Amino acid sequence: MAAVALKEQLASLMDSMYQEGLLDEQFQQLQSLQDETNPCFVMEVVTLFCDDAERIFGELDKIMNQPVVEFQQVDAYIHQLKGSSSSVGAQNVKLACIQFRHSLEDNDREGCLRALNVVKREYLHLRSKLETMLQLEQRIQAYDKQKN
Amino acid sequence: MDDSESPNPMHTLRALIVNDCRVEQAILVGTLRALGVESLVANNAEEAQEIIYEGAVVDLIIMDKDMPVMDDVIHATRRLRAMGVTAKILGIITFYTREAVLDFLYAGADDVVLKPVRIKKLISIIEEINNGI
Repeated sequence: MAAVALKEQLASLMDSMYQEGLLDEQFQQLQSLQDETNPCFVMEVVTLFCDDAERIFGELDKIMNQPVVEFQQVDAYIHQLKGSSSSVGAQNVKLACIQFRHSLEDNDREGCLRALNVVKREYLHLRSKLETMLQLEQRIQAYDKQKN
Repeated sequence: MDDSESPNPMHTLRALIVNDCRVEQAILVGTLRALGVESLVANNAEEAQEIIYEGAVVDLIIMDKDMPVMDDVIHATRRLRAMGVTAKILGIITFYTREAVLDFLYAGADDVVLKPVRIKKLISIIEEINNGI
């Protein structure tokens, strides 16, 4: 019964993530690829995405702290993050990246800093939910293993 | 060197993924694996050419135009065709423009899609390869 409750909790979490726009159908595609032969696929991809996003944020913080901001470099990094978030299905992060790139047109440091904070906020919100999702999945898998 | 023996004589299809993003590499490798396709990975157009030049036989090449030196991907596509590579080449672009699509097609790509690549598209390409289209 505990497993059933966990599964319901996970289903409810996933519904809310899709409804909120945190995730889109691309993430559903990734989930559909996870099976007994590839049980950790989603976790591996999510981990890679988070590592990559945080690496990019680190680089962007360095660039934005320079006396002269290289906006082309900022654009390149945000473009990377947009690509990976699009591939993972991280919809709101992707949209925040698109907005950021628009704000780069003005070459305005303050505008960029604001846009960067929006992207970070969207990412951290998503990361928190993904961590909960992965924890629930692991607990469910543990219950299923015990049952078998 | 060419891969004119494509499809792979062991009937396990093999793909070459040309993409510099680890996240996108992992997703494509995992997706193709689920579809029964083995994958090699190249981080850029130059590595891709080296892999083919060293004799790798592949049935499908997935080229992401969205890499630091974009024209390299188009040149690489052209060069692979000039080398006699007959594998299906799927070009991936981030923004749709007629020019981006035509650049890829004129260079020798068989198809061009917008990122992210959908499973349905990969399935249809794999079917084409298996049917010798």
